[in-house]
Amino acid sequence: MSDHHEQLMEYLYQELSPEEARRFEDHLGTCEMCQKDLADFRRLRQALAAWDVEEVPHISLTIDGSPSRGWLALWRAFPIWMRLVTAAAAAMLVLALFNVQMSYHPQKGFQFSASLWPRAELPGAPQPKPRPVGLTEEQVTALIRTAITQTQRETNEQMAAQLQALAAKLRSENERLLIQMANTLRQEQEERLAELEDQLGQPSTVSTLAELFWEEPNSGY
Amino acid sequence: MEWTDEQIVQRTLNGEVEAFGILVRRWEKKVYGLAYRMLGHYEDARDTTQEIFLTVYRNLRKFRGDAKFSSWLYRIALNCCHNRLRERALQTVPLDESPPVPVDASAHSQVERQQKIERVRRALRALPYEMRQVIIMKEYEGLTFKEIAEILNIPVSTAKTRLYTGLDQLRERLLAVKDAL
Ligand SMILES: [Zn+2]
Repeated sequence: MSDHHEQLMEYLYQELSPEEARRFEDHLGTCEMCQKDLADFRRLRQALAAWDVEEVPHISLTIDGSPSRGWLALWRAFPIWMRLVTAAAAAMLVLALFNVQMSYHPQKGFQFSASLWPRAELPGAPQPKPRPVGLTEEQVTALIRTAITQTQRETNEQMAAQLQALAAKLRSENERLLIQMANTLRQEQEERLAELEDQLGQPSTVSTLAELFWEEPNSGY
Repeated sequence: MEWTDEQIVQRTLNGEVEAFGILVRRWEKKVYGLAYRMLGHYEDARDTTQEIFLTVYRNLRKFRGDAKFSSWLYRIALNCCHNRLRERALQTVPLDESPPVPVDASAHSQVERQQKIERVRRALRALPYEMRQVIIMKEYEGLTFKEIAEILNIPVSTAKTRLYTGLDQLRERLLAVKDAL
């Protein structure tokens, strides 16, 4: 019944596929209520169409008065690199707590070696078998990304205040120059970000890292 | 090729503030149409349209690009309209602002037309807010049910049933009068 209401709406506004429309027309042939609704609503739509908007008044915006040009550009330029530094620091802290060793090589990128058990190996003792993890590499990467985004957001808020003060000081200076500077900075940082993200895409011990995030999704972030 | 809305947002954020003007020109008619029909009042609609674009501009960096720009814009637009209606309700300023009716007797059809518009305007205004917005978005803005659902953050089926209920109520108000159409 109300299912027909929904279909009727889609039929009235031509959002049904040809096949669905045909099936609804079959129903229409046997249902007087839908027939009446359809006829009424078609008349109603004609009535509604009478209310057209003839002319749009001129919309003028005074944007210059707001904290605009340099400020926005500058704001976007700044945080990326610093955010990443903070994210990396937080990641190291978390990893340290879980017996993870992380190293960074300019050529090889980030490297993780991790285990949920103490590293001290007892000679002759059977090695604990790694627990199977049901996470794919994509899921791990997604988890890392989420963590980074969250850190970025927090850092943003702290920085906003500082940047506002800085922007106030700079506002009187040449804005175009400011924007140029900001854009160059930002481009560099975005390249750097892409590079780092690539590296994050290939952690060497995916499964253990996955477990870390899985078991303690909130630690440090 | 034409810039997409999202590209223009990016350009604006990159410091090319003039680019925002393209967005305003592209959307002002739709946004004004929405505001006018939601508020039923010319001056309110004009002021609110300005407010909408300013709000969009000031919050541009919050636009994450996970939804379409237009959905985000409509969401802001509806919010601004809602606020304006609330202010209006507090001020108890009568919303009745009849459009100028030509006195010239030869413009008889024009008078008739104005009367028709007035009837629609009143009927829509009498509807509950939730239904009115869906009818306006569907009928006048030509949005799909999926788009409406995204803007209002409701299930698509809810968008459809709201429209049905709205039209059903409107039918009582508009079609009850014989020859009103
Ligand atoms: Zn039926």
